[in-house]
Amino acid sequence: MTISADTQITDLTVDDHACLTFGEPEDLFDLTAAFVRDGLDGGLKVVWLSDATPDRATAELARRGIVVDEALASGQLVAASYEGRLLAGQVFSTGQAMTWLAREMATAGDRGLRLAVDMSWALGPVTGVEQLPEFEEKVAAAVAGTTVSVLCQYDRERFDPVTLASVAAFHTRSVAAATYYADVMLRICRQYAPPGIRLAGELDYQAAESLALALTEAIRLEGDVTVNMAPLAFIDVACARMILDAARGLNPGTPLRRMILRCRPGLAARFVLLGAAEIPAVRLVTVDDH
Amino acid sequence: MTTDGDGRPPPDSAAPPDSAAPPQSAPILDQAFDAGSLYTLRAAVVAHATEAGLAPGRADDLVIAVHELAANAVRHGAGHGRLRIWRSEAALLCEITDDGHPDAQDAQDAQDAQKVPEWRTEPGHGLSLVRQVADHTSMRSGRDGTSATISFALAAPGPPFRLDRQEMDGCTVLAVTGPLDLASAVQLSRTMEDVLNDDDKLVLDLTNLTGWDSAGLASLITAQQQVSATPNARMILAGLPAHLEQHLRQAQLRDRFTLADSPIQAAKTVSEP
Repeated sequence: MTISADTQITDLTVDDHACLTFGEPEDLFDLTAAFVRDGLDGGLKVVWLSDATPDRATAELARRGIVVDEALASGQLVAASYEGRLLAGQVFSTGQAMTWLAREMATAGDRGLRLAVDMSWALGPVTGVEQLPEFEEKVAAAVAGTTVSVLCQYDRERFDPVTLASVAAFHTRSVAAATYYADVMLRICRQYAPPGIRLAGELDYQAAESLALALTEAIRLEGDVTVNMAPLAFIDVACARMILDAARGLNPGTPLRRMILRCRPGLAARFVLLGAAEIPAVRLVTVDDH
Repeated sequence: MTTDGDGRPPPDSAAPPDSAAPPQSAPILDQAFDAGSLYTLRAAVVAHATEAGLAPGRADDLVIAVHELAANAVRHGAGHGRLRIWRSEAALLCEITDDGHPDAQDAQDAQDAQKVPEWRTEPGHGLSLVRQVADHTSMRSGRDGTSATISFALAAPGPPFRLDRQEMDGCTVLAVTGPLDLASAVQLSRTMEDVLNDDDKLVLDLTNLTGWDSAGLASLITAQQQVSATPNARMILAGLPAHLEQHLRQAQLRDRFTLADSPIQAAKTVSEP
């Protein structure tokens, strides 16, 4: 069992310059969605630079419950590519990037700014990539004491440890998804948008302790709890029952807290046979096979 | 659990302890397991089930049934065991054995250790699900160990899935033909929503239903729950083949439904004030 000692994405505040490391696209989109959601809720301007097209990026946010249309229309939310911001063609220069950042900070003004930058641009054949640590250092200096927070997003599978170590020192915090269990067969981690947990792989009673911890922490938060099992191929009766027992234990007060079980049709049937539909808090949502 | 006459497990031979199985044939799978190899056991079962011709939903059902019985042997029995699967023309027969001494106190301690104090835990365990998904289930337990045998019928050639809707005597009759399974259950669920928008008296004609897997069974349970949640709505299952009714009883789901012998009789009953 592994428990991350990193800061939670939902704990970030103004003038943080945080370093997010992720292991798979699902993590990146989930954590970014929570960062964007909390920024929009706080009335901040939110900008996300990534190598996804703006349409794909905003679709991934919408899929996780972020109301993007209004925020895009009003300019509160911007999803954009690196070109003309961090990069000019395939050339990076700290000077140009900092000029862009200063302009964004000025535009946002007193309202405050949340900026998320997928750093995968630095993995491409880019001239000037050696200026990356210098850039991170300047960002740290620029946002200190302001109403701006920056989230630099590094793929820990693709960036080498030396590069990650060289930029880490310039960040105020390190952020990663809370992971309760991870091996080649199974991953149990926190999901941030919508809040809950995500289960991937094959889950049986041998990981019940980690599942119990993940459920307990998810339930401690307010609101509905999503148990995202879309990437789960197998669940045994002990673990399925534990999830249903957790749903039974959600306080049926007002407003009613729900537990949303997202899973493939075969697993949904298993939950029905185990009595899911008789539990008022449970909402079963079937997803298509990948 | 039942104990056989002398309290001993069946003799250790290639033949399973069930007269329905081919006594002379060799098992298609013979694999030892312990806590560390349940994943590979599941992978082997799904491969052999698919190879033998079980549809995807039924193969998943076989996997969960074998897993629950094997996990039971690991947790409450010897800590390890042996799975053998035989194939006859009509069915896959699986036997899970362990040579442990299931000590009542150990089993209770193991169960207590699994409980999460904050949550109310439901009585029962994986065995009830095994009975819901397997066609036949039998257990033996004695001083020398335990043995569980389950069988899964291989689908005989039959008509493909079809759903026909008609009005009869003031009610809606939905006739199901073929297998109600992972591939087809979603069609029943969608149609049920449409029907309940138009009518509150429903007959599900299952005369030509050839079989189900857990997804099919779940779709019937969900349909009944939708009906129960709709004011004044009623649903009767008509013409359920005898072996499937027997399966409903074994799964302890029979009481959830109202059954009738024929669609005509069901239509009369459901329309009564």
